[in-house]
Amino acid sequence: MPSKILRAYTYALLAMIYVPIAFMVVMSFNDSPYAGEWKGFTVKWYKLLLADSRALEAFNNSLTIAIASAIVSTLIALPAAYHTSKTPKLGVLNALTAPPIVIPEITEAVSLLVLFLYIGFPLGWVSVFIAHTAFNAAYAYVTLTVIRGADENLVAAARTLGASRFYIWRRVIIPLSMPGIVASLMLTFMLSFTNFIKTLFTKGPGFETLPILIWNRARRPGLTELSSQNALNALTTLLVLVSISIATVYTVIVLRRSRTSRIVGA
Amino acid sequence: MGGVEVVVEGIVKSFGGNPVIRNATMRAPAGRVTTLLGPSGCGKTTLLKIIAGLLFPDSGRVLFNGRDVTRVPPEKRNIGMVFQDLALFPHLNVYDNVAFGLKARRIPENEVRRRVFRALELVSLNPGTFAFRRVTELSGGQRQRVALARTIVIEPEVLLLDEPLAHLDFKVKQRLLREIKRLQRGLGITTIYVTHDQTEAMEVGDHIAIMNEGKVVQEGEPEEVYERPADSFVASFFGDANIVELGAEGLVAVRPEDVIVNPDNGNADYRIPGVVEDKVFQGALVRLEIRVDTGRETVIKALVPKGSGSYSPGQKVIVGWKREAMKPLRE
Amino acid sequence: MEAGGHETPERIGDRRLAQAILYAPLVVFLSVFFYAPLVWLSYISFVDQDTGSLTLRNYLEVFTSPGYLRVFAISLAIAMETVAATLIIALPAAYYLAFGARSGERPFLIAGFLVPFWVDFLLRAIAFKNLLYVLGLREGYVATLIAMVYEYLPFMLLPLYASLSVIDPSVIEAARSLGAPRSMLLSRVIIPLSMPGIMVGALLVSLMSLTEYIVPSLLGGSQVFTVGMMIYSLFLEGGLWGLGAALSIVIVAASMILAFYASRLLAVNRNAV
Repeated sequence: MPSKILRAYTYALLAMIYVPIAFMVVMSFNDSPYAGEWKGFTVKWYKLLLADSRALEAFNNSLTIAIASAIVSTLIALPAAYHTSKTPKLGVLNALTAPPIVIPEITEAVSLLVLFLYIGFPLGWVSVFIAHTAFNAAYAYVTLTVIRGADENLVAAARTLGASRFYIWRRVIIPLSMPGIVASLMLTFMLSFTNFIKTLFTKGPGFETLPILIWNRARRPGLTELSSQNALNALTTLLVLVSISIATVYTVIVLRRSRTSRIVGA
Repeated sequence: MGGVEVVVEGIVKSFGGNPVIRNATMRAPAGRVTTLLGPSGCGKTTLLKIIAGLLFPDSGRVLFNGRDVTRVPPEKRNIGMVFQDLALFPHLNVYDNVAFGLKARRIPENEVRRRVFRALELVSLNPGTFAFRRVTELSGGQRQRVALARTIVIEPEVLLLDEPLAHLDFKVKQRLLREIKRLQRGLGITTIYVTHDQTEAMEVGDHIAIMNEGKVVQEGEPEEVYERPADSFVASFFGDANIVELGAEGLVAVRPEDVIVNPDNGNADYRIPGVVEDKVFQGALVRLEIRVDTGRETVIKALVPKGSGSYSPGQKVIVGWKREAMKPLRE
Repeated sequence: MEAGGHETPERIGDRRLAQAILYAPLVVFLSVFFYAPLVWLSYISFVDQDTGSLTLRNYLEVFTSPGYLRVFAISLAIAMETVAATLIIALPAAYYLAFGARSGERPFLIAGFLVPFWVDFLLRAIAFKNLLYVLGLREGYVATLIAMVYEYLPFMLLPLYASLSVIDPSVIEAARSLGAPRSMLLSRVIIPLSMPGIMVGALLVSLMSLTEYIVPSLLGGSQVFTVGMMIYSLFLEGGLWGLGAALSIVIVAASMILAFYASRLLAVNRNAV
């Protein structure tokens, strides 16, 4: 096999995936409102965002929903994941949490919208929060079960060493569960913070998060300076940087601490 | 320290209606090493966890020096246990792993330090080199030593080892086995060593208990058990044995090394004609497999010195043994 | 057994209760906010919106009326082209990840392909749109297709890698030692062995691209209309819930089958990553 060619190809492909993102980041510092023509370095698009009350309100909605959804979904999933870690044979929870991850977002979003409208639930912050938390709970569960926490054997070992229950929680269970909890909080925060489709369907008229704002402006480009291409690039860059940095930390934690790599002598 | 005799009486334990231990009674003499030997799935790890207090039996008692500890939780038993997968704390370094039990007992920091360093020295890990390494960076044998140090540092009255060397290379295993023995002699802790490996059991054990299908089927000194196996399971699991059904004598075991091939007159009390089926060179000894007819077709294994005549497959021979080589077995 | 300390039925009941308290929040939450809406949606898909009676009309109309069929045809064409393109582009890289990569670089490469997987489609579509301007591409079918291939590449690459990584490299060495030419190695050994991954990747990408809403809305101009856009317009613009529900339920059912198939594949591959 011409493995050098394959290697070059793979790295080129990897680079290609990041090229559009890198290009956007560069353009967000472009003095021209258009992506194509470079007119010199500027941070004016970011300054513009800071003065943009509509963006700030959308940011506020995105941030509060993401924080609430991350905490609630992780809290809901944590005891279930703990339960799974003690009875690994029970596949029901695993089966129950797969569909929210697998089915196309749009169908999940539509079904929630229909239910909200049917029972007359007001659309806005709460409905978006519920929509985000519904899929986040599944992601939190998967994250918490994939990342190794405290094995039962470690708890048993701590007991034979004379540690009390409280001491074991403090020194073994909580520290060892921390990477999973942190990864779950980060991932669910990010998925909610940058979510578009579910928000679009469940937000109701007038309510905006940052992705919705990006969408609304991208659909009517160039009407004002705020909806110019590079203003949009600046706003999107911020969200992409949040996504990429959280996704990188998350991926590193999963690859390092996944249940398959055990530290026993085997 | 030391001097605690462990007695287990009539232990029964089942999980979800599945009996795992049917009736286990055994004794671990004070200050000695008792090996608990049995095939995998015989319930030996469960019995060890009951002795540790990690599991409570459905019925039966666990006595430490006559004191009933059956329902005492492990943290109040003053035992030390090395787990099969070691169960080292992956988020703590070597020092903190070893110090864990001492800190849980709120022992002052300077004494913790002194005892941790001494424990590391006892298991031949140089504290200067190893104390602040991550346990994930250690080799299999080094992790084993850390697990051992973590256990002995709390000066337990009873040391429980659950197949602690199962995952190691042969050579590392041999060295650690010798060290565990040396350590145990030095400290004089009553030790129960669980294994499924009979050579390991013979090497390390002063006393031996053999388990099968949830029961302790025999216990005693290793030599005694080897010489007088209670039943055919013990005879063939602890050492190798030919199990033969002889009319008047009933079921007996004969060790391969006691089988005499082509005995001189008067040299053997029993003689059976047979045919050499296979010949396996084993270094100083040669193992012969000889098909005989004792009513049923049976293959007799015989160990003979490598220079004692040449046998080849197909050759007709007489196998025999002395009366005292026959070990009567419980049916 | 004449056990004294046997577990009584009440004690077993207590333990079951204690365990139920652990998983109940998740089960209840998903039932109420994920499964109940889906059940309700499937109910609506069988209801005639005018008369309120149960009917199969919604399904019949969605799958027979020429207007909807045209949308299906365009959607399906984009989906199939996306699948074919991502498969061809991803296969050599998946092969390199599974067999060529040094053990030190593999986690780095996998992480590199995994990370964009988590970036929302909207954000990547906005980023991609810049390039189209620079390259001078117009909004339309081609732009949509290129953007879809860009977005779905990781979804094809990762299942492919997962199925290739469980193949014993010695199988490939054996084929080569038997003198198999490279083309034969690909067609007779590698592709058949990676079939489960190809199936999962193809189903995943086709279902996701069928329901894609963002890319065609942003880059399709007026030429591209997908099932995803149709669902949006049936619900949020046309108020035709019965039809929209029928369409969604078909997609959901297909995804569930995919999920089942994929979970079996992943269970086999659990130890491979």
